[in-house]
Amino acid sequence: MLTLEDVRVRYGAHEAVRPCSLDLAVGETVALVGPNGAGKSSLLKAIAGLLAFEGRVAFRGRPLAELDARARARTVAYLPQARTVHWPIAAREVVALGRLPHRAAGQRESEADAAAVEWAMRQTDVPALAARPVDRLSGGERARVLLARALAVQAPVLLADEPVASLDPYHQLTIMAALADYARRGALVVAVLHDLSLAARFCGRVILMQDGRVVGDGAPAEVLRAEALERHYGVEPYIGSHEGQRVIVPWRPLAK
Amino acid sequence: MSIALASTRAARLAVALLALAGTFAARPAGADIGRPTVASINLCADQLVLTVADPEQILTVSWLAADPEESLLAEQAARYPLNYGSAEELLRYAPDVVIAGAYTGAFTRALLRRLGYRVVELEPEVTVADIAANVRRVAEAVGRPARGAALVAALEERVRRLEATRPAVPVDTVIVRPGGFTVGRDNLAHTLLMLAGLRNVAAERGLDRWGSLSVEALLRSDPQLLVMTGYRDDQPSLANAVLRHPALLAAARERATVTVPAAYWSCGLPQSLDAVELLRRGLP
Amino acid sequence: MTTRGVGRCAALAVLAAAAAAASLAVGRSSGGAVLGLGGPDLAPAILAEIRLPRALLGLLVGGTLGLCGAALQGLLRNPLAEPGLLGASSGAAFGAVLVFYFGLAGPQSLALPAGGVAGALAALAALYALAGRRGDFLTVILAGIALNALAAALTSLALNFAPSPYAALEILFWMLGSLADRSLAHVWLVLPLMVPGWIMLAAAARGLDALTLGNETAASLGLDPRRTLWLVVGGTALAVGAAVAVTGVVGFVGLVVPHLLRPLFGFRPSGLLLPSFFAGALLTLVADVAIRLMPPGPELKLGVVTALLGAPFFLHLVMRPRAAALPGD
Repeated sequence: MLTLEDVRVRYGAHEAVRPCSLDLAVGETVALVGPNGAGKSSLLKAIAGLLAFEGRVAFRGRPLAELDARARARTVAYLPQARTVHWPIAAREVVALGRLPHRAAGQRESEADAAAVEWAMRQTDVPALAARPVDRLSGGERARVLLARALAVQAPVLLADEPVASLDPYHQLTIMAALADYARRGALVVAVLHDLSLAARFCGRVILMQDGRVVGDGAPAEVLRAEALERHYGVEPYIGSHEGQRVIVPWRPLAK
Repeated sequence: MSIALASTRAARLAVALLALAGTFAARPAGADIGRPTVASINLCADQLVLTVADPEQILTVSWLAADPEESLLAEQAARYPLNYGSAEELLRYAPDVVIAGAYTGAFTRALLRRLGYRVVELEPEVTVADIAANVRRVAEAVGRPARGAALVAALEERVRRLEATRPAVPVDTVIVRPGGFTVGRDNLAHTLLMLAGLRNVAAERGLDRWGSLSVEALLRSDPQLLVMTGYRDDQPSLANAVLRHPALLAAARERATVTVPAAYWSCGLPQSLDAVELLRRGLP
Repeated sequence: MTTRGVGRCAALAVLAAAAAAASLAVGRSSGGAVLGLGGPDLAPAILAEIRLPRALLGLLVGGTLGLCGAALQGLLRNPLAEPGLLGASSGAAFGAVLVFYFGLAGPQSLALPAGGVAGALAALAALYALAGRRGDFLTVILAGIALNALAAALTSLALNFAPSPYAALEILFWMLGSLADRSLAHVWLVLPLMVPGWIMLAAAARGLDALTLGNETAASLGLDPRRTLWLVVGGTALAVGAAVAVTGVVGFVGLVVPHLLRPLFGFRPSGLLLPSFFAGALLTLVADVAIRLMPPGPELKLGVVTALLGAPFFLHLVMRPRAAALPGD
């Protein structure tokens, strides 16, 4: 159980995340949705301990701030929105960087490390790319390699900022399925998503944010209703259904 | 010291391993003449050694000493093996004394001391008294104090004569060195100018030691005498180009000029006083 | 590192050791290069007191420059980074120049390098005072560049006021770098600074790898970028400051060595550290042996020769199509 108590993020006078308290359970796949600038990324970074915030974040009752850096890194894995890789190293080497929190300085890759790397690469369909330098991958391929890097940490909490943003439809579906599967096997996955159909289909819980505030939290059918989308996104959605699941397509912008 | 011991042992081992014949035998020490052998590794030290020491004592002088552009005693220096001032070279000469400059080859001096050599360091000479002091130091170091005393006595006598014949009214003078450099106070060239009875305009303007003067500033100071001191005139350089500046050449045509080769005052030697006579010959 | 990488690194180490042996075997006299040692009565002194320190310092200084170059390029994720960037080497140069200026370089053999070490540490302290609290990369780098320029300007100022033209010339020569006539005392002077510097850089290895994925990911992997930053900056200042203090400024090694090695060892920063140490030592020692093999005359300066040797390799790499410069395996 990941518990947020009055988490608040301020950049000078600007309040990116207003005090917010949440309980997030292991096994859940949580979609974090909302318009640009709603504070989604800031909230993820606060949980990952990447920026200064007020309030408390605890996992299984223990404040993350009390953990040492490595233990914290083994607990919370984080995939940033930026797909930066500064050196043209091979895809497999990128994924293996996810094992750094599991190795002490000077220690070589263990069998467990190798197994985790292989597993993560299979999850995101990149084993064929293993030897390719990342600068010779397409944007979507690189995104999958980087998600494999985050999965390779095998942390009980995975925070992913727009994990499917640049993927083709096939991989959007397979990657979302892989994330949901990862959660089902005993992890908490929080993913920032803009595709509301994917959120509705793969996530058991949707948290909607606007202006730094949590304005909706619950099952997709409760949160992703037409009025809420009109109010918070400023769009008129098309909401349909296919095989008993919601299909949500933003249809036209509303006059502000 | 254990470290030194260990390194000596390592050295012996390596000697055995390398087993390469020496290509250069050290010269025998000058025990037969009863005075210490000497090596010098600095242009100014070289010339003092050549002036003060017995030719038999001198094992080597530095390569610059044999260059007539640099040295007043080039011909004399060319009779000796020339060195480039490295410790390994000097070890092969095994001199009793090494004469060096206080500013050149700091690492070599330190290393030679560490190896047990006697190293005498000479400060640059600014005044006649400095020249006399360095002559005495070198004479002492090479075991010829009487020769040193005689040289100093002659030097002082010459200074007295020059002072007695000094022109009553000082002549405004600027030294023009390549690159527009001139000479201020606290400098041997200034000392020699004073002895010649000239007024160093740059020094009066507060320049100490050495500095540069633009062609314009030089002309504005309106000296009566220009002292040109060339250095490797035949080699093109920006510094030498200044000496050929049209405005400077025009000014030189209107004024008295005299040329003093740089070697006269780059090092302070008894022979440097010859420059005073050169200067006086150029007086307007 | 892969098995092949380990083999290649070992090969570099062997080559560096061979270059050090060559450095012991080659001397220089008035007539040019001297192979072997000369008369048996001279041999121990020449070997132990002249050539051994020269070979050891070539190894230590060259290795330091290669290692620091690789670490800084990894830290800044910029292949133009080099050890002179952060002000440590120009601080060391300025410290040594001050010693010259005040005429302290005379009898005390260690005054000059000690001045250099003090200058490097002062530059590091200034860098920390200026940028330490913020600790973000850009501030540290910009402050380092500013300090570098300041120290260089102060050095020029000191040159202007040098006590004699000979002192100025000596300073200029010294700044071109040289290993000539250093003694074992210099080895003992630099080691206590270099070794902690190397250890700090080695401790930064994992952090440098993590930085490949950006500062945030590195932090999320438990490797605080600020810690990596200060390990590399501090380690470089200590090790390069000590190196510059004793040998003057030996250019190009830190810049070129990591580039030469990437086609062989890949781009992962931690995998380049140790090979860069050996390759830096190799390049420096080869250059220093080449100096002694030149025709008779005054010795060329080491910094000049490392640049002459390194530049063609570097240009060759830069001119090749980029794809070909990527690791083949």
